[in-house]
Amino acid sequence: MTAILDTTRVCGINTELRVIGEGRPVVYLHSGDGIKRELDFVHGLSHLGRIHAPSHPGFGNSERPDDFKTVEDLAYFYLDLLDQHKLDDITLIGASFGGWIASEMAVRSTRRIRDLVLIDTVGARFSDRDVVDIADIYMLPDEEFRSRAFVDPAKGKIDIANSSDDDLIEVSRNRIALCQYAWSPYMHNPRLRRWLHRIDVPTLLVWGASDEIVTVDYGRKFAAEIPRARLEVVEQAGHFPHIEQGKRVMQLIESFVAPATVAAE
Amino acid sequence: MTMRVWGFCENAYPEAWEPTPPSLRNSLPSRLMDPAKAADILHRHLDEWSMLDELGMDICINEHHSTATCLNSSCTLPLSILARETKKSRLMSLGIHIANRPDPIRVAEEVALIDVYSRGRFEMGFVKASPYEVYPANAQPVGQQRRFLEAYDLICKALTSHDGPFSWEGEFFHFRDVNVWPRPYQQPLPPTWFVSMSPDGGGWIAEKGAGVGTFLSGRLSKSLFDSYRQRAREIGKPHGPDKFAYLAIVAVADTDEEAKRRAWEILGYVRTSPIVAKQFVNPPGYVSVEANARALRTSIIPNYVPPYATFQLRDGSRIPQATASVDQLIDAMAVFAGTPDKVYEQIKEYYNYVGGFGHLLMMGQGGNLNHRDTVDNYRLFARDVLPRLKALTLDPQSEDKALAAAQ
Repeated sequence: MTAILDTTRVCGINTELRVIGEGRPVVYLHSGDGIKRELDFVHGLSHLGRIHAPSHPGFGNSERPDDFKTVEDLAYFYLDLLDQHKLDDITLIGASFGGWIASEMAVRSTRRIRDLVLIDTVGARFSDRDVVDIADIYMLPDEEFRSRAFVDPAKGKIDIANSSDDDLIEVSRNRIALCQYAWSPYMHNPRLRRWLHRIDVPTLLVWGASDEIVTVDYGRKFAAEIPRARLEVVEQAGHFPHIEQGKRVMQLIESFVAPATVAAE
Repeated sequence: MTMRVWGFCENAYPEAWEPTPPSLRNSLPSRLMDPAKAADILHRHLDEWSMLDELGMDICINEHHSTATCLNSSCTLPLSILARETKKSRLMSLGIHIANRPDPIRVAEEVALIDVYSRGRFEMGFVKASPYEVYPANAQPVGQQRRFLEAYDLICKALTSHDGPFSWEGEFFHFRDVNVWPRPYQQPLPPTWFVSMSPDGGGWIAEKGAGVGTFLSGRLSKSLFDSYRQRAREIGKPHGPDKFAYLAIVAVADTDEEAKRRAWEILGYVRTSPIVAKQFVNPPGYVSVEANARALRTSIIPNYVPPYATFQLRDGSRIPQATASVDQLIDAMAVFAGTPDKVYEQIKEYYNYVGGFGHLLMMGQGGNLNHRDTVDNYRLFARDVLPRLKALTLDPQSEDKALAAAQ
């Protein structure tokens, strides 16, 4: 199925948006690595409905104004996007950093959200102040990041030799944007945990069994804060199960969403 | 103006790089440092700096963090000691990491205090700091230049406002009651310095009316100074040699051979300074998107040495810093080494090459160069080179060339 790659203007920001498929609206929020490596998964999602997959401000070809600095900005930005595109009763899916954005949206308003899927999300903190909850990617050599994030570390490698200049510009933009939003407090909002109980929609947390960026234990703690949440663990996957075990993650999301679809009809 | 020469060194802890660890910065455990030895090192360098006062020289101190290459984790602390221990030397911080310090008002207070302690001998240099410094400071690398400029504006306003408190609600800093006591001794402000390592980085510094310093930049410093002169002329700001400072490794001895040996020891600094674990070298946003993309492209070239880690020779070719010989570095104008006559000629050549400069920052100690050799280096320099530098004027021919370049 072909994606319609479009630019939409939200909050005065030109935003890259991929729209794929037909049916009820699904919004996918990509990880901190950008959407390019997740496109197979995004296409796979399209039999759930009409997929809307934007690049966050600063990522891909989306602009980021200088004053756009926090995940709170991204949450309000996407709530505006839902309003502007009149997307109702959506399934909201976020992976890793995208899961953080989705969580921040959902604690603010679930008015347009029917259900929520968080894949190896970050964004909250559960441990003592001197314990690392989320492995600090800025302190890790690339090889160690990849071996912590992937069961097969080769999957995390950027093929620089076969990348165009534009591809490398995009990788660099993604890296800079993520750092702006997640440098400190590192990869979380200290206030988020306090408000996770406000997420009042059915929530599925999907977790790579071998994730060593945020472990399954972190996922359990995250799920425990959300009233209607359950956690599914995916074997043979690290921090990016939707890349390493895309089909399995798709199945889990389908069976999570399907009963609700039936009920709604 | 007559040239001023400022003694400079990094207060290294050389034992920590035997054997060489994977990173001399950010991740090196401090258990590898013996506090008693560190005290010896720090006092030794304070002694050497104090001696410069007697030799008619000035003192320039920098800072680094979380590293064995430089035990000065603050430049204002040793400068405040020296404000009391010295009588005539001017004292320069080059510089304070104002984009990484969470509190610019604290910086303004320290700056003003040193200026008063020294009765007006302080020169305030501010630097963006090396990329890896954002880690120990936990400073956001994205937008760092904007934060730097806001911190600078706030420090200047804090040092020049004398009619009671003002408030500041900026993009990065928020204060309700800025009212610095004591205010600086020098009015309205101590002389200001910034650093640039880029061939066209002089423009914005000229706009601020500050001096520009550059470190071991060799031939590249000419285009940097030219870019300053050009912008300064456009906007009618001063652009005399007193606005330019150049940091070079300087080793003087009675024989060329001994001087070059001393230079080689000091160059321990150049050989160890880049030993930084890869993940700390290029934090996102420290350089532009385009520069980041280029860095990715070159990251797969085996043994690639980026231009910033090379020196340009007289013939235009470039050599890697890490393996450069003393003779090559003399050719590159990063090192001035030899007998006093030779060193004078080398500095004079650089002086004419760049179109004149008023401040030589003399790295007279580095790496394993011991106290005795360091003292001898500075004494010989002060006796046999410094008086001649003070009389140095621009060769009219190179002055014409510099003016032509600036136009």
